[in-house]
Amino acid sequence: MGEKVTMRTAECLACGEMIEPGDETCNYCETIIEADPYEIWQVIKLPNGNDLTIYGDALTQVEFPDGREASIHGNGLTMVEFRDGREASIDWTGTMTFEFRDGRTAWIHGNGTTSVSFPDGRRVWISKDGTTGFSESPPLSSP
Amino acid sequence: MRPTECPECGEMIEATDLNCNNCGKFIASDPDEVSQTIQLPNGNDLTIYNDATTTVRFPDGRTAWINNSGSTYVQFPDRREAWIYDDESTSVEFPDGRSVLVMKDGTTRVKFPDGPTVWISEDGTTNAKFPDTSEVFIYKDGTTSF
Repeated sequence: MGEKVTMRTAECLACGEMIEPGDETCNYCETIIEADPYEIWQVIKLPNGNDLTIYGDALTQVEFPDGREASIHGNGLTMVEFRDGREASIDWTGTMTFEFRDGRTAWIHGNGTTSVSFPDGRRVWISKDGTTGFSESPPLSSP
Repeated sequence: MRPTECPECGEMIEATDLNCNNCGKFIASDPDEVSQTIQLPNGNDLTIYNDATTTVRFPDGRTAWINNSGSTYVQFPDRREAWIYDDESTSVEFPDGRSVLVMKDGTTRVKFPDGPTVWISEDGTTNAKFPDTSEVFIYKDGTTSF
């Protein structure tokens, strides 16, 4: 095996040999071809008929007949995008974020602190120990 | 359990066959059986089960699931569990017994083991119910009542 090429290209960067879309190594010099993160790496038909798409950056995505898209990103971020564009996500720390149609956002942080921000700037939170707080000023940044 | 021969005509059934190649009969399969394992471009393992549930395992011990219905689930090494359900509600359960539920309409509920259950309603009103049946309300405008 040769050295790693940074991105998928039409030609091997080491020897100039043509690279076909499914090639994992150069057919001539065996240089490893790293996938283009935005390129579809594989599409698999699941046993229930839905399509599972895997992208070059290891993003795994399943589309459902009702329009939902569930995905697991290469870094572990797991999210669902709903038909109306809203998103619910669980990041690598365990923080859950959920967006609502009216502009509210709810967070469940990895340590259990829960907060809801409202479009008028109010924020309500419940701390890990059960303490409840209320703020009327717009948050400077995401809590 | 998944048969190795078609129960209709006796034709051999391959592990990935959904239907008999001879008579077309649908082959029922064990939903918990692994249908396929794939190594992703980043080296993590993706597993597909017969019921179309898909899981990815990460080196830090996390496992993420996409269930066949579209709900998702993440299990963390410290035993925290997070769900995004089919009905668009989300929840996290903590090893110390706390649980947080955010419903589709944004109503949020936090349950503490042996402590209060606290609700944040759609308009921001917050209500804590304690095990001794006492209640505290914080209203949208910041006023409080007991």
